[in-house]
Amino acid sequence: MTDQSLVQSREDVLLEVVDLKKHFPVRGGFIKKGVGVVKAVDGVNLFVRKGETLGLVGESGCGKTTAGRTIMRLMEPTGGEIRFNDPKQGWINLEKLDRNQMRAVRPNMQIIFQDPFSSLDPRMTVERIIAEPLEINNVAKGKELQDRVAELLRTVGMRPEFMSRYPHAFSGGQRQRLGIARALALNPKLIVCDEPVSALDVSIQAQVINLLEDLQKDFNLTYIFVAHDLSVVEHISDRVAVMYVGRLVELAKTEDLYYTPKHPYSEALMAAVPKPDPRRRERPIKLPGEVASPINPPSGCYFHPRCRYVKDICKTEAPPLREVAPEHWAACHFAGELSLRGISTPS
Amino acid sequence: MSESTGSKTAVKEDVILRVKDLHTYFYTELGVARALNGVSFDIPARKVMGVVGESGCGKSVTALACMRLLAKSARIPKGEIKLFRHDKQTQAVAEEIDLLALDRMSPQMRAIRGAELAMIFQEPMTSLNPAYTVGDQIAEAIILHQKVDAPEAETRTIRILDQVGMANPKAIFRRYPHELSGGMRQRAMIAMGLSCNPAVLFADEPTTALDVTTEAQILDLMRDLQKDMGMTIVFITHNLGVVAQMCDYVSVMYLGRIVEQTDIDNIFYNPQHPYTKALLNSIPHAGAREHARLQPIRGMVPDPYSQIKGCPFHPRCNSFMPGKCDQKVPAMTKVADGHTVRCFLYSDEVQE
Repeated sequence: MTDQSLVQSREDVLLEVVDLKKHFPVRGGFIKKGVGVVKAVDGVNLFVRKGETLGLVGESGCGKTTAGRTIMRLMEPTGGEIRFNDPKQGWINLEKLDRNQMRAVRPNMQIIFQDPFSSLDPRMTVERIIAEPLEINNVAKGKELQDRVAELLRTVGMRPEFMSRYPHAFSGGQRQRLGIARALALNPKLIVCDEPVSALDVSIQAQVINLLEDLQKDFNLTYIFVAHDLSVVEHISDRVAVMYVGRLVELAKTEDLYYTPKHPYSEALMAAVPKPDPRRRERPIKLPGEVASPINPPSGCYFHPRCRYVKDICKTEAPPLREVAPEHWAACHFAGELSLRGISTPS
Repeated sequence: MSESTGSKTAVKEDVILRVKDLHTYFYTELGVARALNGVSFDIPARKVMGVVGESGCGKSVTALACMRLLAKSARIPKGEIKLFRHDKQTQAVAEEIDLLALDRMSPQMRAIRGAELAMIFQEPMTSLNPAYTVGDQIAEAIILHQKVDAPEAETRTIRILDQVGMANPKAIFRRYPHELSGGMRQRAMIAMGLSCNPAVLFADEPTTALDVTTEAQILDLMRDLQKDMGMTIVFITHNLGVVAQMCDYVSVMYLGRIVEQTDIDNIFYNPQHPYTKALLNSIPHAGAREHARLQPIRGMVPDPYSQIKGCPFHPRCNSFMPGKCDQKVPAMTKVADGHTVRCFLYSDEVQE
């Protein structure tokens, strides 16, 4: 096995992704022949430890949602490996499983979606929405099932009496709680949270973030937290992975990434975070041009046309993700040599 | 406060727009939505005033009312909106215009809208017309308001596109909105807003749909243009980070009323209203090294059809005083120079 694994000890690791790829064909013309390929996820390596939160950040179109969904096998990967440490079966390669085998593993991995309005079926009662995964997996039925749904509603801070209502009767924050209850139903180990708070009002965001933190402690959950809001990600994550045009550019502990970034793109992100502090105003780092297209990405390092530290090698050779400090990986030819600015802190 | 009717007033010289006791109700099938329940503020010229609040607090309605762009179902039963024209040399108030006295489609209002008062909308994809090129849409306002011919308008449009940081503005002029990325569309919207050099620019969540690096660059651009052109900006947002980066003054709104009004430093370092404090405690503070647990505001924003007796924030407030806050609405009172708060913690004064 030619291994690009980042992991040294696999003991405390729950999930490892090696060289994950998800390409979408672009069809055009009269006979709908393939005219190109969108490399939405193009060689991502990362791992998640048991009980931690890994933030997955990047700008729209960078492939973070696709990566999350491919890891869950809601989309079929084009290439690479998804290794999952199943509590019963031990290490298994998810990409090799067929439908039935996948079904046995799926209770351990769940997802919470961004839009609490489109991710709940408007024609199903709350009870049926939350009971569905329990029924499908023959976990409970009858009175026992109803009790479990009631318990799940209480767990996410909602009254069991709401069971007979339909989703439209609830606000965005409450719907997101219902989505969380559904994800918790089968006692999963891993939950992919795909922008779980970005559709919510400021004051409601905090309720849901706190709930996710409490549930993680109570049920020893592991989160992959996909989000574009860098303040929320800093708050909730133990480690953070930064994506740019389908590739991972940096992976590190949250404070290492935020205070001592090693990739110029991460540096630009940190400068751009709008800090809620009028005494910390700063000018952004100018990124010329637009985010590269995943259909026709530039040569070498995908970030090179916008990078202010660009050298000749960046235009021709794609930098590999390498460990530049303990537990700190970056995909930049000059990572570790450049002195980059982290996020500004209150004086 | 001056209650003058003539063209010369005792208004403080630097006030450019005055909104006073503005009420706006929407008559819908579900009932009457009381979107604004007495909003008052003076907008200082050549400054950036932030209007902050959660969805449904009335921040966009306030801007649309000032632009006279409210939907037909809206009524303004009470209130005034006055625009002050300043003398270019002396900066004294030369003329005052009662915007609510004008018909929204009258020639006078149409002359003001787009020229003196302009607006940048939140969603550039829905507010740009897909059937016209970006350049034509911007030039239209210039031809209308500045009475110039098409070639001159094109020259000016290209200059503005250049100013808002578009690479190759000549090519952008001939592009359709769908050919541009989100950030470029928002730049086009800003260019449209700026095209006639407005006295007041309402920016309604202009960066909310954008990525963080694009947002930072648009904010930086708006700050530069505001300084260079001496423009007044009313910046509407729910994002306290963006407020901190952009604004000189802030009005915090809750359920159709302003609850606190002061300068930017006070809002973040000396907030007084329980809602302002609660908002600040509920957000993660980027770069703040130690991460305290977030303190959510309990409950949720009530719907605008319901009428809450007393202070509208009392059901969610940590400082709720039974028998007081649930009876009457507190008046806006001064707690320090340039700092007003609507809360019974600071004054017993009641809003009539």
